[in-house]
Amino acid sequence: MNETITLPPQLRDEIQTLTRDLGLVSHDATVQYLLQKAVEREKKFLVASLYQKGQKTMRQCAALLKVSLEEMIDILRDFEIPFHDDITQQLETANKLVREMKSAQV
Amino acid sequence: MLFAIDTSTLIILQKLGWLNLCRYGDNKFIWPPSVTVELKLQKSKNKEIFDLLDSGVTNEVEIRNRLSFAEISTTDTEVISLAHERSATVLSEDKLLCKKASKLGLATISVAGLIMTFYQRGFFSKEECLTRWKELYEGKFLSKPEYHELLQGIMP
Repeated sequence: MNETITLPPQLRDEIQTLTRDLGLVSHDATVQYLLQKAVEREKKFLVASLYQKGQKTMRQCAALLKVSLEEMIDILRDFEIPFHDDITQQLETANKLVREMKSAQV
Repeated sequence: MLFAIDTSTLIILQKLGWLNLCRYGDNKFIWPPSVTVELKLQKSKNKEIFDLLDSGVTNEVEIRNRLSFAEISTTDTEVISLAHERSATVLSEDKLLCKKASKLGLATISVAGLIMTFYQRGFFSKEECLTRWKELYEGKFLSKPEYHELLQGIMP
């Protein structure tokens, strides 16, 4: 399928430089390559955002992107999306668990 | 302490090289059979995790009654069900899983929180605790604000 897009001169020049640097065969091939990269990255980011908003689990995100759980964990790390955002609560839970354990031992 | 752990958290512990955390003190780590199945499907094959299982340090435990949750998968549901049945704390890095477990009144904790319990129970020195948190931060398992919050939580 053919698509026509208008590129600003500076971007066109940069694509020409990349075509040479990446050793790709043509301007079109470079545009396709870059678009594919951008689409993949945007898809990953959108899915990772669902995790960040607490709307999906890591496993569900992995399924949406058709990647393994291990890969999904690395995608979240790449985007620097924190696994948790409730550290205060985590510390409170840690304190509570240790308190309960110590009082059970007495 | 008894912890019901999920697949992603086991993988994270393995990525960090921290599976030996399962060997400290009288802590027990359990997971449902679906977690084992899922681990077997991962590319890295998770040999170290299965070594822990084989050596009896961690245990796969059958669930008698599976709870029902909308929005989360069978494996996550089984981890919560197991924690509920055994009065265990859910050890998970998954935000939504923890949210569902909390709604049931279950205690949930992350790896960073687990490190804190190790410090409070004397398994780790303050330096060890700080080193581990730094490693979590540098490995991008923790954000900068969270890391600083943790530091504030331990500093006098």
